[in-house]
Parts: sequence; C-alpha cells; structure tokens
Amino acid sequence: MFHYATLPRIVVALAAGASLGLAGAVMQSVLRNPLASPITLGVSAGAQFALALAALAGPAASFLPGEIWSLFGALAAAGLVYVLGRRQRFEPARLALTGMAISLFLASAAAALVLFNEQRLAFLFLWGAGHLAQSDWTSAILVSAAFAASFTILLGAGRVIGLLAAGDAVAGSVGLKTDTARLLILLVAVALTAAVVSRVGIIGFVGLAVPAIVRLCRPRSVTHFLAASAGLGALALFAADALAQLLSELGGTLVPAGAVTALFGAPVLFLLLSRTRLTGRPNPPLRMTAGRFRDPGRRLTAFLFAILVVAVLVALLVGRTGTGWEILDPFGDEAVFLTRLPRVLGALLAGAAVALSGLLVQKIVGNDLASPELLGISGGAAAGIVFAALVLGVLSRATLVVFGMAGAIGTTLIVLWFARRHRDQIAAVLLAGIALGIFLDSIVRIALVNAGMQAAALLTWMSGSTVLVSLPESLGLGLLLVIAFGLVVVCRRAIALLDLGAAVPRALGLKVRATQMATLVLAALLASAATMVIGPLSFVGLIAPHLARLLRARRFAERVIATLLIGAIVMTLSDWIGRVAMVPWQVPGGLVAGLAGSLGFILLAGRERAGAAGA
Amino acid sequence: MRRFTQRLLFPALSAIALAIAPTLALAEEPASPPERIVAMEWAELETLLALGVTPVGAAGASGYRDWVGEPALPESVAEIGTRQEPNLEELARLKPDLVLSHAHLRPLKGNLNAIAPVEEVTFNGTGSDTWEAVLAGTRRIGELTGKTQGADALISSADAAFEKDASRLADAGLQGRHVYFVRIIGANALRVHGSNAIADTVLSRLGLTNAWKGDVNEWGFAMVEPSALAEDPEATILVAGPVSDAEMAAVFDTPLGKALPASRAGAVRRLPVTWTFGGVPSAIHMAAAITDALTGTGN
Repeated sequence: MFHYATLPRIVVALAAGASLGLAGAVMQSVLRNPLASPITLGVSAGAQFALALAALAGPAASFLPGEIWSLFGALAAAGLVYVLGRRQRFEPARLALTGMAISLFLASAAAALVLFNEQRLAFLFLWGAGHLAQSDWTSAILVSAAFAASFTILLGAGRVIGLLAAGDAVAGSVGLKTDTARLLILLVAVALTAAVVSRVGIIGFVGLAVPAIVRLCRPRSVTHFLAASAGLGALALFAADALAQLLSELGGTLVPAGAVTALFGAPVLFLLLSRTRLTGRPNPPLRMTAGRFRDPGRRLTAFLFAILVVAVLVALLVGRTGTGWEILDPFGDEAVFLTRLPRVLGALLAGAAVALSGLLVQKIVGNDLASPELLGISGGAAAGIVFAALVLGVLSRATLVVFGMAGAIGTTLIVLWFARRHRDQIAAVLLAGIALGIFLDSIVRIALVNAGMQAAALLTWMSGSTVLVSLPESLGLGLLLVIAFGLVVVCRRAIALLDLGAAVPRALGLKVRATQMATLVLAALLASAATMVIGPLSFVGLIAPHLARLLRARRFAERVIATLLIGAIVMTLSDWIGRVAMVPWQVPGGLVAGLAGSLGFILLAGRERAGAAGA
Repeated sequence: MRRFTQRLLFPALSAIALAIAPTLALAEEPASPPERIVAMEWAELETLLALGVTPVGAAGASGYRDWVGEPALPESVAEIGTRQEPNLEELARLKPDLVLSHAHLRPLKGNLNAIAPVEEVTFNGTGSDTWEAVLAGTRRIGELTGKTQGADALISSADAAFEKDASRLADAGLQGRHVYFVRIIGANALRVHGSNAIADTVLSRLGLTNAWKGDVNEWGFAMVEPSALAEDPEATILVAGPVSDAEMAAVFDTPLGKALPASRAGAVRRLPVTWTFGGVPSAIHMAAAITDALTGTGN
C-alpha cells in the first residue's frame, strides 16, 4: 500500500509542483508578464475540455489515451492565446484577459457537457480540482521524466530566456530571433504543463503565484529564478497535498490538493498584491481630440430598440417542441406563454443590468477590459450559494437569492475597492480578481466533489438558467434597473468624467471619492442581481459596452442607452437559443451568452489592436 | 388576465401558507386520483411505475433507462429535460394535474406551481433517516394516486424479498459477511455507501455487514480513494452498475487495486444496473443483485 499509493503520491506532488512552478516562471519570463501562468494562458482549461470530450466520445476516442487528448487540448488553447496575444504584442493585461476569456469559454463548454452527462462526467469535478491520489507509479514516472527533460532544456536555454525577459529590443540587438525563440520555449513550458494537467488535473495557483513570490525575493539571474520557482513549487504542492490529506482525514470529505493550493495561496497572493506595486504599463494616453465623427444619436437608439422588439417577439412566440417549431398563440395557450414570459423578461432585464454594470466598472477602473464577470463576482455568487446549501441543506428560492446576492456583492466590493486603490495598474487589479475567483472556486469545488445529486442542480443554477425566475423577481429587477438608470442619467456628467483620473474632475468641482464609491456600489448591486438570473459567466458586462463603442455611441448618455439595449438583446436571444437548441433539454441562457460572449471578446481583442495600430 | 394575477400573487400567498400551516397540505385527500402525473425524480418515477401508474412525463426519462432500468419505462412517457432543469414548456404542454417534485428542487416550486399542483415527495439526500423517508414517500405517492393498498403491498413485498434473499445468503453460509458497496467515479475516487444509505439498509436486512464505518454525507456516501477499501481485509467489494470494463480496470487492475485484500481474495464483484438513490423497487432489485453476486448465481 505504501509502495503503490503513498510513495508515488509524494513523488507526483513534488514533481508536479516543480513543473508548474517552472512552467509559470518560464511563461512569465519570456512573455514579460507577471500575469502569465498555465491557468491564465488557457492551458489547463484546454486540457480539461479535451478530456471531457474524450470521455464522452468513449470508444471512438479510445485509440489514444486520455492524456494525449488533453495534451492536444492544452496545445490548441495555448496556441490560440499565443496567436491572439502576438497580435496585441503580448501586452500583459490583454494577454491574460484573452487567456482568461478562452479559459472561460472552454469552462462554459465543459460545464455544458457536464450538465447533460452529470453521471458520466462526475469525475471531472475531482479532476478539475487536482486530486493527487495514486495507485501505481505511472504518473510519478511520467511527470518526473517530463520535469527532468524540460528542466534540462530550459536551464540550457537560460541565456535565451534571460534575453527575452530583458525585452525584444535587447534580445533583437544581439541577433536573437525573438519570435522563434519565444515560441519554442513556450512550447516546452506548455507541453510540461499539459503533461502535469493530464495526470493530476488542474492545480490552480502554483504556476501563477510561486514565480510571483520568488520574484519578490529578487533572484540574481534567470537561472536562479527558474530553479527557485521549481523548488518552491515542489514544496508548495507537497505541503498542500499533506494538508489536503490531513483535512480529508479530519473532515471525512475528500479534499483535493489543487483546491488547497488555491485556498491558501490565493489570499497570500492577494496580500502580496496589496502591499507591492507591480510594474505595469501606465494607462494608454488620453486622446486629446475625439476625432471627427457623425453622431449616430437617435437613429442608433431606434435601430437597437427595433432589434430588441424583434428579439423579444421571437423569444416569446417562437418555440420548439419535440416534434418541431411552432408559433405560439399567447391567448390560446396561456400556460406555455406564462412559463415563457418571466424567463424572457428576466433575461432581458438581467442582460441590461449586467451590461450597465460593466460600463460603470470600466469607468471606475478606467480600463475597457474590466468587467464584473472577470472580477471574482462569479466565484462570489457560487460560493454564497454553496455555503447556503452546506449550512441549510434544502434551499428555497429566496435563500438562494439572498445568499448568492450577498456573496456576489461582497466579492465585487472587495475587488472594486482594491481596483480603486490601484486604478493605474489594471494588471494588479485583474490578478486580484483572478486570485479571489480561484480562491472561491476552490471552496466550491471541494463542496461539489463531496456533494450528491445537488451538485448538478447547483451547477445548473450557477451557470445561469432562467428557469427559476418568477414574474415578481423580474419586476423587482426591473425596478432596480430603472432606479439605477435614472441615477446614472442624472449623474451622467460626473460618471462620464470618472475615467479621467482624479485631477481633472476635481478641478471641475467634482467630489471624486464620493462619486467613485456610489458608482461602485451601484455596479456591484446591478451585477449581483443580474448574476442571480443569468449566472456569473455571461460575458455580457464585458461585451455590451464594447459593442456600444463599436457602434460609435460617443456621448455618455447615448452610450448608456446603447449598452443597455445591446445587453438586453444579447441575453434575450441567448436565453431563447438555450431554450430551443436541444429540445427537450435546456441549455442555461447564461451559458449560451458566455459561449457567444467570450468568442466575441476573443474576436474583438484581435480586431481592436489592428484598428489601434492603424490609428 | 386571471392567470396573470394568480401568477403574481401565488408565490407570496404560498410562502405565507407554507409558513403558517405546513400541516394543512398533508391533510387534504384528492377527491379523484390525478390522471396526468409528471415525476421530477427517478425514485418517484420507479415508485409510480411499480404502483401501476404510468406518468405522462418524467424528467431525465432517457437517463432512467441507463441508471435505474427497472421497472421498465414505457415509451409513452415524455422526456421533459434533465432532472436539474426540467423543460417547463414541455411540462405545461402535457397539461399535468399533478407534478411530483422534491425538496432539492424547492427553488423551482413556485414556477411549477403556476403550471399544476405540486407535491414534494423527497426520498433521498435530506440527512434524515433515509429508509423511513423512502417508506413515507412510497405511502405518500400511494395516497396521492389513490393506490394506498398498492403502496402497502409494495412495501410488504420488499420485506418478503429481503427475507427470501437473506435466507438464500444464510443457506450459502454468507451471513454476517462484510461488504463494501461502492460506485466508481474515477480511477482514484469512489463513492462508498455507509450508514443511512439505502444500500446500508439493504445490507443489514440481508444479514450482511457494511464494512464502511466512516463518516458519510447526507446522501449516505463518502468520497474515498481506493486505498480506503483496504481497511477491512475480510470484506467483499460490490461495484454498483452500470460500470464499464475500462472503469473496473482503472480501479482494480492497477498495482494498488491488485494489492487490495478483496482483489487478492478474488472478492470484487460487479453488480448489474443498481440505482442507489431510488425507492422501494430499486431496493428490492438491489437486494437481489447483491444476493446473486455473492452467491455466484448472477453474472
């Protein structure tokens, strides 16, 4: 037993921890990006999604072992992030965001698979949380060999990594082909990560935080940096696994090591962040002229409104049964119409609310890449709901809403408060949001691993199904939205000036702190209320303000209205697609929006850079 | 318009009613038994079928065929989506006169209630005495469908079946035998059923001993690593089906799996499809499957 379970487990913990620390350090060095890590570059999510697909395909995919499939997934996801990142010249925050968008996209897709195959994919909960138990030496040997090979290669290439870390200008001036060198070195790091992920699952945090901690100790050279990251990574994961086993013994529940690393590592990272100043890029310089433009004004509003009306009519009247499509007669078939109405209303209003929240968050943080979805709110709502389920057992809709709201508001406030203090450092803010998200997610995972049938139900509710929405709730959300919209319109001048920093607005006689605080609370309230209806991963809060800008809504009031309408349109259509796509099965609308939204964001991210480069 | 007001007022009113008089709901007895029933859970579905009532729709109907199997589900029963998120439109189109829901879907109760009368019958996962809940749930479904005698007969048939299987085991000299009852989740994770699981009740009624003494969750199982099954060297390991050859190999055909005392003694048995969170019919089926596996008369 000792020889086949305990010993290989120790070896796996050490080798996997070292591998992830090393891979993270390498990624951060060659991309010159403190946010780079296996998680933030989409590698882990790619591997997980591929593994889920392979498990579902069953015999059809069995000609290759699951490990190879997950390697393909990891490489594909990392490749996509790399291609998109290169178009943005690997700008740290954008790269991390692209990676997170791809991660969220794949995670949504994996969640959809789990929803429909809850029994067969139950293992994914555990695998996704990094469970290190072993029953033979295969993993230990494989991971150790992968680590040894990569470590040798990467140390050998230490000088190249050092040059890349010094910047492309320096590296180019000594005759290094920077693109090729970076690609090759990243390939080694990704392959190493994929090997680890395929054997032991997703271990959050080690690859992100260990190099960050090592960097704080100011290592003398790149070689020192890599070696120290590997060593600390090994220690961290070994300690985490020991703790996980202890917790499993004490609590009578299975606690995976990956969840423990996040549980203890994320707060450490959060603390470190609030004490240090990351060297991030400053805000892009303000444009002094807005350029010449024709204001689309009323025409745009009318156009969007018309689309929304069509979308609502389609969502209300066009349905699909097991036998085919049908147009509903709302008076002839009241019962069906009445099950549809609250969902359509709820989706519409929640979409608008989260879109408005996204616009406000972008104003507060002063960066158009921020959004409530990426700032830990998802984890907050989910953790609130899971906490309630653990403490109270049977949940009513009211407790579900109260706990979810409380969790979401709490985390949003924490991150936004942090963001306000570090407003010129979007990278630090994102890292804080990601850290908090990973932390809360690890709690949720431990709970889901050990829960019975509720796990799948909780997952449905957390992935944004409108099935639970009632008409009174929709009306309440509508009321909140109307009040928020009124406030924003009344204070539109103050809010519009928020992203100019403190000096300009203060010179204009604005109470900056008070405005920031009020906007922040409003954004948190809107996002949290919407999260209870359409789930945390809709991406609408990120995408709707972007689209509004793309449609050239320049004046703030018009941009607010356009954003609201776009959010409502996207969510109404997503919910409708979710309801009709796989009849009689239902895909949560939030999940559909998340798939479409993250895809849209990935496209926008590539496109926007091209436009900016031309300007 | 009337429906709209109903829809608006109902959640508020039902919340008040639930708070004030939780016993009132139990007191009412249907004048004529409902004819168009929809079941939200497999335990309710199998109980209905065993009582000779064919529902018009069921959540997770296709999954039922894979994971529960018996009693066989007629083709006429409409699939209305997953058990976690039933398709409310399909449900409304079926025009049910009774929806059998359960405590774990409580957040959905208001919306179900707007379509048809809802009764919550919860068999599993509340942390209270599971077998008592199964019996109470069976009787409650009997009441609701006007099959009170059928429900009592079903429960006594379980008692009879347990006795018959227990004596078969006793005849084979297997009384008191230690048993781990597990379901495979992944290569390094198993659900082992302990106290307050239906499997635990069945084992004890068969005169067997559940080898798992550790803590369990409110569903009566614990997630463990395979090495945990080495604690009781006397025990046979029963693996609930459906389980594939690959899954069996991933757990029991590894160096660790082969080193387990049960593997070395050749005492790892695979059960046919056995639903662990079901009602009385599943328990009867489970008892027979365990007996067949231990006496070597099954597959």
